[in-house]
Amino acid sequence: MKHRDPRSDLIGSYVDGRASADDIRRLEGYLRTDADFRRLFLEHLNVDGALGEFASLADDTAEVPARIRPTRLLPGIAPRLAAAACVAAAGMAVWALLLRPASLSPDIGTRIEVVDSTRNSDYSLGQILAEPHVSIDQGRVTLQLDDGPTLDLSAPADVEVINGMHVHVHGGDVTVDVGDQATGFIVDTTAARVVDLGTRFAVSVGETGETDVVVLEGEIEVREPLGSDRTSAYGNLMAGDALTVAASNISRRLTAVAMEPRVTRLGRAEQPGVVTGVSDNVTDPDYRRFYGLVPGGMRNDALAYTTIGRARWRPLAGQEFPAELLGADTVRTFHDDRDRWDLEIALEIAQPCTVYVMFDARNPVADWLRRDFSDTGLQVRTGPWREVGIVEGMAPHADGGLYVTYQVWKRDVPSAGVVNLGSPRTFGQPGNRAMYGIAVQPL
Amino acid sequence: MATLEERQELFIRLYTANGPAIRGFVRSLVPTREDASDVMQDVAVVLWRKFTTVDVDDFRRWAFGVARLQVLAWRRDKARDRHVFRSDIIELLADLSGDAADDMEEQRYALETCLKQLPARRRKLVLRAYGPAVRINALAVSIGRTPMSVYKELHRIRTFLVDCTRRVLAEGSV
Repeated sequence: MKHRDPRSDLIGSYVDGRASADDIRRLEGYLRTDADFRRLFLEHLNVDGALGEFASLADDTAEVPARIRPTRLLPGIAPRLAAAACVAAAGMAVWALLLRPASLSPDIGTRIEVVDSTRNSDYSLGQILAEPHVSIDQGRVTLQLDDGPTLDLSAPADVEVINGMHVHVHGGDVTVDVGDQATGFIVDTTAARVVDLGTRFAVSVGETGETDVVVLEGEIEVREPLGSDRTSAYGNLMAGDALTVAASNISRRLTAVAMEPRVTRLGRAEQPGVVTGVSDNVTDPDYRRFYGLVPGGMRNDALAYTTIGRARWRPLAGQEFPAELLGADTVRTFHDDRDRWDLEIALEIAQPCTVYVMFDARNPVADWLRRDFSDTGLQVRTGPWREVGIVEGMAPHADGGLYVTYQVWKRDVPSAGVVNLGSPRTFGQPGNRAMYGIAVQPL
Repeated sequence: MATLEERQELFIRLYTANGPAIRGFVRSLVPTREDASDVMQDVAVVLWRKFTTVDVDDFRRWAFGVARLQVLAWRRDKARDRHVFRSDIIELLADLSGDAADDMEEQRYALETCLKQLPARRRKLVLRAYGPAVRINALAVSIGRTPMSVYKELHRIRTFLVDCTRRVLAEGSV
């Protein structure tokens, strides 16, 4: 039977960055006294470093990419080819550094193309930008880097492209759509470093450097800003999470975010909405879910929740969407709340309005709803849902999809102020039901 | 006298040829790949700034010397971090790493052969785990495993690869 050297696990912990201070001291002891162990240690780290290179070259992670063997390049090889090899061998960060001597071209080796823009922006569709620094004072512009990640800038915004996988947002609102091919995309601000883990997210940087980070799809990691001597991180954020990081490295949950009706991206309404803020009574410091504010967003096909990309508001089968609700401001809730029997949500209302609550029709009507609201007799649906617990036991509708039906309740609010809503479930109530939706129509 | 563009071309050519060796050298002296990337950025800047004074035939030895100083500077910044090797260990490893630079380069080429010998599932896991900025915790969640089980499997894979590269190099089949 083959016995493995127990010191091997110490090497494994070190290579993975998991070694404790005690592990390090033990390793030092072995490295000082045992030449064979030193050699083994070096070989493990060499393999570790080389694996990073292989992985960065791999298109399909099941295949081993051919490695560039740069033993000696002939003088006739074009500099760009050499530079391309350099990218593969040394990584994008070094590449960016090497090709950015100040006296040379501003070319950073990354193609920056305008793939969408509003008329009032200074950029035109299809324009290839020569400068890596992009600043807009009005309108909106969407940039694509190397036919990959896109950056959606809403004025005023100021962004510097470091390379195809790295940007610095100096100010303003930027939504980043990284897609599946650019995992590891980095957004720096003065307050935080955001590393994408395969997703779409938005970053908004205020004048003081305070940074709002909103995850629209997938997952990201929020770290200390580049150059910080602090080692703590803010951790991973999932779709439906939002966090504000101050330049002083203090973070807090961002409870309400302005969004657009049919897509999961940040919104910038021309007119302020009726609902100016949303908060709840969840005090867990690690809780980071946000409510989406969508002015004029209620319509067929509008997204219902911040955490679920599939569930959209629909009329009942064969019917028109209720006219009473059309064009109302919506508040996208999130599904975690559906199980909080003591939940309290506070809506900050700016003007007289009617508040609508779309309540899962399968649920017993909550006391607060029956007391403060009246039943409109209207119903809407969300869906189609995947076969998750919420729709367990439900029969597909005529189109084959699974839908949840909601009863619509309403309450007139005669003046600006705060409207309080309660939990979707009563204490002890069993069952897996949908979180309610919220819409607000100005009077 | 070479123009700026000619100097840049020459630098890129030399850096391309020696970058993996320099990176491997740095990686052997710092705890994580992220640390190695940070140090490498400083190394690249210093190499470029001082490139006018170097003998191009001695580029690798000079670059290793620069990298060694940058690692020691990085070590000084981490003086209070008990997760970093003491300076004498870094010096010890730097000596070995410099002496074994050619062997390490051969090992990296042998690695390509050995990666192909891994079962497809393990190969996919390791290349995925080593992707840019991939976090093992997130990866483990995405494949329905615990982070510790992924760490252990990655160590087993690296151990196999180290053994395999030794075998391949001994057989001279790179």
